[in-house]
Amino acid sequence: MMNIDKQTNSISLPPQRQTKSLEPEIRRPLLVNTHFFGIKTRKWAVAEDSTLLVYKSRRSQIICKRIPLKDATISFPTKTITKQNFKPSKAGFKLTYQNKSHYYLHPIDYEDYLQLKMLLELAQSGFEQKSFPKTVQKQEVQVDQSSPQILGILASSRRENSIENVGDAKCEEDLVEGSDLENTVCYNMSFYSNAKVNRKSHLEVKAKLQYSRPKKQDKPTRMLTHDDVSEGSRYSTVPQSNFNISELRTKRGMGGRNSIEHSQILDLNNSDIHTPKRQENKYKILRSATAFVGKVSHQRKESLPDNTLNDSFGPKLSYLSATQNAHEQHSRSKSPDQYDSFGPHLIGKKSPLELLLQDGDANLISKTLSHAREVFEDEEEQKVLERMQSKKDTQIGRNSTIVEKKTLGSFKHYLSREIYSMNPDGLQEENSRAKLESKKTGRLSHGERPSVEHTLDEAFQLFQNFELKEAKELFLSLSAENPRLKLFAIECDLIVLSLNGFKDLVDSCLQELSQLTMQLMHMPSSLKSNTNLHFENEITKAECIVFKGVLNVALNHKWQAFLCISESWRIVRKLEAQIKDAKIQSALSSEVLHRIMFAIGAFNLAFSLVPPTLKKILKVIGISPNKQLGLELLQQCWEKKFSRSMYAALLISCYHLEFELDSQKACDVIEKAMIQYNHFPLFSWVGALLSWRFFQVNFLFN
Amino acid sequence: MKNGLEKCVDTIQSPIFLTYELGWYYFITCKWEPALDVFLKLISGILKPQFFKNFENDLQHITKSLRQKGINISLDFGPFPFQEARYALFPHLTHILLNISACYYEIENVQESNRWLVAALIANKKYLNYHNKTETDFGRLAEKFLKRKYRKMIVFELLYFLKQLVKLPDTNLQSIIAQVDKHINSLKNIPTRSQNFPCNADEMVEYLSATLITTVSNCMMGETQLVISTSEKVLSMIEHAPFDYNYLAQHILYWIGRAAIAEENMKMAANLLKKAMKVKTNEFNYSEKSRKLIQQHNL
Repeated sequence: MMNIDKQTNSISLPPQRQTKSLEPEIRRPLLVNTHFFGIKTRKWAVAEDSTLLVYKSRRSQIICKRIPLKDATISFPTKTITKQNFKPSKAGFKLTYQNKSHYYLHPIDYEDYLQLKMLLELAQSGFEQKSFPKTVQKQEVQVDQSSPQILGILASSRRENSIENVGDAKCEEDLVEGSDLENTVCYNMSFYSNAKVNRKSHLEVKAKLQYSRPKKQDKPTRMLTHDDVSEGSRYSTVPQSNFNISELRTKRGMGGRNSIEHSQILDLNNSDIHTPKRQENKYKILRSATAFVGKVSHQRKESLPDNTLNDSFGPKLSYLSATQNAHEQHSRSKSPDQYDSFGPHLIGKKSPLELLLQDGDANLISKTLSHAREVFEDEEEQKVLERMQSKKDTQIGRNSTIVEKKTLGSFKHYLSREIYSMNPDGLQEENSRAKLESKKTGRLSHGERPSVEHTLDEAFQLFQNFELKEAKELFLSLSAENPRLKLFAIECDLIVLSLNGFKDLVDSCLQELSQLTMQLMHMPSSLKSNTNLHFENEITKAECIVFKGVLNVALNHKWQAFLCISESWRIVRKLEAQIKDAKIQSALSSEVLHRIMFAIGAFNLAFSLVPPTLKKILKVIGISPNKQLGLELLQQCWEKKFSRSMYAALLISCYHLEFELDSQKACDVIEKAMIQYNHFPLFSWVGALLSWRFFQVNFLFN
Repeated sequence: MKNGLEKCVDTIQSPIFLTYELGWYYFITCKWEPALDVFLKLISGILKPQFFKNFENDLQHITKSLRQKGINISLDFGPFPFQEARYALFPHLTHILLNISACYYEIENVQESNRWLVAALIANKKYLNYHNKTETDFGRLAEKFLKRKYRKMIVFELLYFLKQLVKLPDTNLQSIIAQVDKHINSLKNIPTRSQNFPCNADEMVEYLSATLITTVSNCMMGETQLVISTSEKVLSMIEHAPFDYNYLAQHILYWIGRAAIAEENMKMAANLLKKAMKVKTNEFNYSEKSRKLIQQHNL
């Protein structure tokens, strides 16, 4: 019996013994793409007469598949490979078939690479292996190895060598089998090689290294663990980075041998916390993000005419690393003396809460949150200044006003009024809303037809102002032209759902999402003809599916949820691999690019937070999330204002609240978000949770 | 929170997640009546419609099983004090029912408190939206409080097991300690150090429960020395704790162990945490946590 795989034109044979050829064969590793989480299985292939014979294992004699080379589109390694820089993992050949199935064929060594390259080139050009030229270009290979006979000789010599150096060969083989091959190909897993130990173990290890078992006269070692989090350790309640070590004593410490100097009291003028001191760490963090973010930044700089993205990426990356290093540095500098198992309860000094209460300010929560603002102000000023400078040429008159106001010295105040609508009375927001409404009504009355982009902006503005009904209507009307925009209309319902949890709304949203997914599946989009549209289609599809997954979680349909999330992850991973290409990146709009970045970041963060046992399973199925990368991408998405920046802010703040015990960072984000999305209740909710962390229960409702 | 709710007024009919937080705010600040209003409003939407339809039948079934376990309470309840609302998916069900029961108890309506404890049992067994260990634990807690003679400690145990104690400022914690002490002093047969065990089981349970809450509150306030100084009496009593209430004993051991770590008494900490690890209990099990703490501090 012989089965023909119509899509690949490959022939699946029933298990049969291969006829032993006279010449020894070269078995090369062949990675086969599966459709389950994008996992690749490794098989072994032998090239024979423009066909690849696929074996299950290296020593197996049973051919499980024959793959014709002539039908494949072969992608050769993009970099020039020399003997010096040769690595089997980087010298893979990608074979793509019409049904989009992929195979990755890897050479064993450099010589084999050259042979394979020639063989594939010939196969692609339609020659049979028999018609190989007798000689090869000498500059490529020292030895003439073009003919099949010579190939055979080489192979046999290689085999002899391998017999002689069994140990070495085995080591090499293991290396190839292990990490290298998995790191290759279209999806570079090295992005996810999480060099950092997760927080809990990191802390434990650090504690073990820094402070061995406490001695009698030593102070107790404090280690924050996930257990503390789950119990709601009172350490999490006050921003630790703002405390001055020297001044305080605990209740327990009063006069006894256990007197412990506590480290922490609010020192709001401490600006050192954002000074990067450890250059090596800075580099490390940058390198961890390299892989994707650095490249994006660099390439966008070249490709984009305006500097918006450059400005937002480059400095922010360094800023990110700087703040993280500073934070790391600060946390490292804490001695065990600063910690106490049950929180900073202080005698002789008033607690930060009490200090704040003394002021008698009614808006205590926002006041507490406002500590974070100090840190960002300079950077914000700089950013906005640059933005203003870029508009210098076009808006001369306005520019002069800015300069005048700058010279007056109230630049900060001016910015706060001009750039953000953060007037505490909400007057400016009201004005902007009134403007928006008048625009809408004006247009309707004059019968003008607004441009799509303009209306889309308005729809987003309505969405962010929590006018969900109006936003939904606008999105729906826009979706007639671009069906992908229907997702935003569904999102309006999802926001309502996140607040009221109505079962019937879950069902209707699920149904709409399923319809939209089907619609997107059948929507033709080609990567070559319109790259941006193709990527928009794909990311919308991924988002639709992940929303379906989340709704299935809400309905307790675990298996469906798992399948949806797996499918969405597969699409996102594919997109991630594709946007590494500079050409593709330059062809994408900022919105689409950032949506992809948000998806990558969210998945990385979410997968990194699963319990350790589940994480092991994820690792087995090829998911190695990188929490750091996830956070960095989300941070960038939050800073870049686009359709997903609100969710990025929510994810970051919830992460810092629940998993990192870092109220300061959560404050930073929430405070800004509460100002920017003043009408969005989700931020009020998270802000309320945050105020609980500050023991401000009594002010929760005020 | 108020801002959040105000923003939702026009757009969202019933923002249950924000309402839930609001209910908790009232609950932890001991404002029982507003808390009750909020929780009742909440529960009308998150209980499955079948719950209300089958309540009478379920009640009959549960009565039988409760009688077999030696729990005799009057089950002559009237209709529910609200109308069904639009059904919403919400992850926490059992503890909201327990909160309602606690609120009713605090406003001295014991009959309604019983009804909601029984409702918690029924809902936990048949009408959960999401099955998980926490929900099961709270279901068991409901049964235990139906069995217990005194119900004063339900509020504090709920606050503790829902990890709300850590969110309270010291003044509130001190107020809780005062209330717990008052309750213990009101008992007739307070177990004393010289008393021969076993004393009255009901009072013993109340005493253990009160000890747990006091210990945790003191720990939260940094009064670990006080916890250690009173531990001797507590530890001698823990050995005589009724089997059904092992969870109280385990948690007390765990928290005194943590206090001992803070006081650098590693030997004592190791001893207590190892004991806690060995305690067998079906609800709110802290064996794993104790083990991790031992591992973390190389005890």
